[in-house]
Amino acid sequence: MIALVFAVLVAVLMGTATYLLLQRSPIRMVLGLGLFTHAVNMLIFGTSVSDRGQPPVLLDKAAFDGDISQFVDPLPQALILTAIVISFGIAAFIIALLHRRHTLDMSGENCTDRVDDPFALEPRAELDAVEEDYEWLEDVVLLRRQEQQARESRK
Amino acid sequence: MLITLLALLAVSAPTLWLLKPQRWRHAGWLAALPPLVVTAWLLTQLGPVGQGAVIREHYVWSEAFGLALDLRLDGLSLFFGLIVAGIGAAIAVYAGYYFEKKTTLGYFYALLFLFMTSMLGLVWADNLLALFVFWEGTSITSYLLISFKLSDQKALEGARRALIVTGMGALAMLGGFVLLGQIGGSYTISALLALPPATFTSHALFAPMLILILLGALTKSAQFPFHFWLPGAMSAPTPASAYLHSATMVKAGVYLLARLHPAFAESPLWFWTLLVVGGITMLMGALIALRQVDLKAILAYATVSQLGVLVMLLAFNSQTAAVALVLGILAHALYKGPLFLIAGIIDHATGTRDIRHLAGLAKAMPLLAAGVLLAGLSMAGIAPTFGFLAKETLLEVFFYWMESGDPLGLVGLIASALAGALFVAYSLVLIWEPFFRRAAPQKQAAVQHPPSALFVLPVLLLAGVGTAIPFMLGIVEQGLFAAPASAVLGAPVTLHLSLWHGWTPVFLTSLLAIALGLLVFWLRQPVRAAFAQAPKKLNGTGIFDGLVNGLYTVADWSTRSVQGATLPTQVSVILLAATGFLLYAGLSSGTLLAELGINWAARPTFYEVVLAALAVVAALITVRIQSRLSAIISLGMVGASVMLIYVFFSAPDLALTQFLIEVLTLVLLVLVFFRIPPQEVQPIPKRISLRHLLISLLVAGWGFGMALLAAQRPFFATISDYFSLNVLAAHGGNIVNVILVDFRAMDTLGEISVMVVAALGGYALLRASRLRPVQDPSQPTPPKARSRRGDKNA
Repeated sequence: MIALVFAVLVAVLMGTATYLLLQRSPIRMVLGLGLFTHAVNMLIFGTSVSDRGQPPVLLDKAAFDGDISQFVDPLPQALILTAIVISFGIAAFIIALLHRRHTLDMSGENCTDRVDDPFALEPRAELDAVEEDYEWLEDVVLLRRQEQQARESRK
Repeated sequence: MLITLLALLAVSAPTLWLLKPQRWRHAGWLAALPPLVVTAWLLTQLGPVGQGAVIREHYVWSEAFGLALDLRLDGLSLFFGLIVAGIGAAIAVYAGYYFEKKTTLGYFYALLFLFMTSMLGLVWADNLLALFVFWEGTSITSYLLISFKLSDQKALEGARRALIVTGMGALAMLGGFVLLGQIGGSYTISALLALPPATFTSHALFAPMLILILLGALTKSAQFPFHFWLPGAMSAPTPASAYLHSATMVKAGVYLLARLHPAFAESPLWFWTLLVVGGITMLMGALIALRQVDLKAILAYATVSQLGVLVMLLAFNSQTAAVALVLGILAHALYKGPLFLIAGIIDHATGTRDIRHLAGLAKAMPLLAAGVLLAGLSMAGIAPTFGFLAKETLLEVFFYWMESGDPLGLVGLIASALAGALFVAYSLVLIWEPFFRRAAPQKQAAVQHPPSALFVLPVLLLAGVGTAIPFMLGIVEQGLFAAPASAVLGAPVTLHLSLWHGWTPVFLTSLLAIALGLLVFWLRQPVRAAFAQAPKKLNGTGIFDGLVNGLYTVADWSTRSVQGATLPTQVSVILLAATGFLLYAGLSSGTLLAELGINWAARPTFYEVVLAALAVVAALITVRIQSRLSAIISLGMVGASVMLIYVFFSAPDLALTQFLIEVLTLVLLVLVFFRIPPQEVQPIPKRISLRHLLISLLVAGWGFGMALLAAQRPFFATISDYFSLNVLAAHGGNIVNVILVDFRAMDTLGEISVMVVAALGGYALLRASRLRPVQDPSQPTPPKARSRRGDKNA
C-alpha cells in the first residue's frame, strides 16, 4: 500500500509539472521543472521504500557483521543525492538565464517563448534583434571609455 | 610494378597542379608523359599476357579486416588498362590546348590524374573491397570534374545527380560484395572466380547478392532506368566528357560485369536482367538521340545506346559474345573519344555546339574533317573500319542465337540491326551537317579560332589507331582480343577475325542496316520534327528531381512537426513519446503488466500519508495559484514534504541535502523573479489549454504506472548488496557516502563538473547584465520594471 501512496504522489507531481512546463510563461516553466525533479526523485525513491529498515549508516563499524538486511537499500539514495544537486545547478542556471533575458529586454512585451526556428523563412528579423543587442553594448563601452578619459583628465 | 605505376599517376596529380602548367605553351605534352609511360609498359606486357601469363602483387592493408591491396594483371585488366592509360594520354595533350593559358588547367590535370589513378586501380584490383574504394574514387573525381565550372548551375545539378545515382548504386554494390564475400569465403576476386559457379548460383542469398551488385554496375554504366545522369554529366569540360563519359568511367560497370561473368553467367536471372535492361537501353538511347541538337548530347545518348549493347552482350555465355564485347568496348573507345574531342574543338572554334548553327567547317578545318571521317565511319560500322568488325560480331551473336531455334534471337537481331541503322544515321549527321553541307538552317556560326595542328593531333592519333587495328589483326589479335575474351568467358578463346567473310547472312543484314540508316539520314528532317513532338514530361531527370525534392519536403515536414518551433511543443513530444514507449513495453510483454500488483501488506503510517497528501495539495496549488510569490512558497511546501518523506524513510543524507537545496532555490527564485516584471502573456485558448490538460493527465498516468512497477521490481538489489557488504573496505560508515565518493566516484566528479559549469555560466550571465542598455533621450522611457508589484500573470 505504500507503493500506492508513492504512485499517487509521483502521478500528481508529474501531471502538475507537465502542465506547468507546457505554459508559455518561462517562470512557470521553472516551477514545473522543480516539480518534475521532485517527481523523478520520488519515483527512484519508491524502489526502496517497501523494505523499511534503518538508515544505511554503520554506527559501530567494528561491530558490523555483514548483516545488511537491517538497512534500507542505499543505492537509490546515492543516485537521488546526485540528482538533487545537479537539478539545482540546472535550475540556478535557468534562473540566471531568465534574469539575463529580462535585462536585455526590459519591456517584456515581445518576450515570447519561441525558440530559434532553424527553418524560419526569414531569419533576418532575429538576426537584426541580435545586432541591436550588440549595438547598445558598443555604446556602453564607448560611454565608459569617455567617462574614464574625463576622470583621468580631471586628475 | 603495378603499384609503382599507380603511385606515378597519383603523384603526378598534385605535381602538375603545383607546376602551374598554364604558363607553358605545350604543357599537354609534358602532362601526357606519365600515362604514356603506363601505356608503354602495358604494351610490352601484351605478348606475355596474351600467352596466359598473369602478374600478381600483394600488399597488406589491414590484416585484421582481411583487407589487402591485391593487384592482378590478366588479359581483361590489361585491355582496360590500355584504354584508360592510352586515351588518358591523348586527353592530357588535348586538355593542354583546350584550356590554353587558363589558370584552371592545373586543377583540371590534378582531377584528371586522380581519376586516372582510381580507374586503373579499379581495373587492376583483385580484391572486392579495394575495387569498391577505387570505384568510389572515380565517382568523387568525376563529380568534381562535372561541376568543374562552379558558376554553372546546370553543371552543379548534373554533378549532384550523377553522384547521387552512382553513389547509391555503389552502396548497394558494397552490400552485394559483402554477401558475395560471405558466400565465397573470400574477398579476393581471382579466388572467387576459381570456385565452381554452382557455389554461387545454388546459394540461398544468390538473388539478393546479384541484384545488389547489378544495381552498382548498371547505375555506373548508365543503363535504363538509370540512364538519365549521363547526359546531365555532359556539363563537364569536353576533355573530361570524352574521357569519363565515353571511354572509361561508364565502362566501369561493364568491366565489373565482365569480371564476374564466369561466376554468374549460368544463372537465368543474370541472363534475363542484362538482356532486357541492355536491350531497352540500346534502343532507347538511339531513339532519344534523334531529338537532340547539341553535338555532345547526341554523342552522350549514342554512348548510352552503345553501353546497352555491351551489357546485352554480357548476358550471353558464348565465345562469340565475349569477342563481340571486347571488340565493341575498344571500337567504341576509339571512335567515341575522338568524336567528343572534335565536338570540343568545334565548340572552341565557333562558340557553339548546336548542330543547327553549324555548316561547312571542312574548309576551315580540313584536318578535323579527316578525323571526323575516320571516327564517324567507324561509328557507322561501314567496312573496313574497326566499328564494322565490332558490329559484324554483334550481329553474329544474335544470328547464332536465332539459328539455335529461339524466336527471341530474331527479335534481338532486328533490334540490333535497327540500333545499327540509327548509328549510321547519326554518324552521317555528324559528318555531313557540321562539316560538309553548304549552309546551316539557322544563323550560321563563323570559325573564330581555327585550331592548331597540334590541337587536332590527339584526335587524329586516336582515330588513326582505330583505323589501323583492323589491318594488323594478325599482330594484336592474341594479346588484345583473345586474352580479355578468355577472361570474360572463363575459358580459352581462339580467334579467327577477319574483315571479309564472304557474302554471309550476317553481312547481308549489316548491309540492310546501312541502307536503312541511309534512309533515316535522308529523311532526317521529318523524323526529327516528329521526335521533337514526343512528350517530354516522362524523363528520368524529372522523376529523379521530383524524388529528391520530395525527400527534402518530407524531411522538412517531419523536422518541423517533431522539433517544433516552441518549447512546449518539444516538451510535449518528448513526454508523449516516453509515455508511448512505456505503454508499448507494458502491452507487448505480458509479464510487465502481470507484475503490476500492489503489496497491501506494507502499510504506511499515518504521518507518511499526511505528508504525501500535503505534497499533493501543494503541487496542485502551485499550478492553480495566480500570485507568483504564493506559487514559489507552495513549491517550497512540496520540497519540504519531500524532505520529510526522506526523513521518515531512513534517508538522512537526502533530507539534509534536500533541505539545503530547497532553501537555496527558494532564495534564488525570490531574488530573481521579483526583479522581473510580469509578462504580458496572451491567455492560452481553451482548446490548447484542454490539450495541455490531456497531455498532463497522460504523463501522470505514466508516472503512476512507473512508480507501481518500480516498487515491485528489485531494481538495484544485486549491486546494492555489493556496495553494502564492501563498505568497510572503503573505511567508511555511511554507506551512501561511500557509494558516492568511492564506488561511484566518477558520477560524483561529473556532478561536480555540472555544478562548476552551471556556476560559471550563471556568473557570466549575471556579470554581463551589469551592462544595461543606455536610454536614448529621444525615445520615451520604457515602464520601470519594479514599479508594478501586484503581478497577476506570472
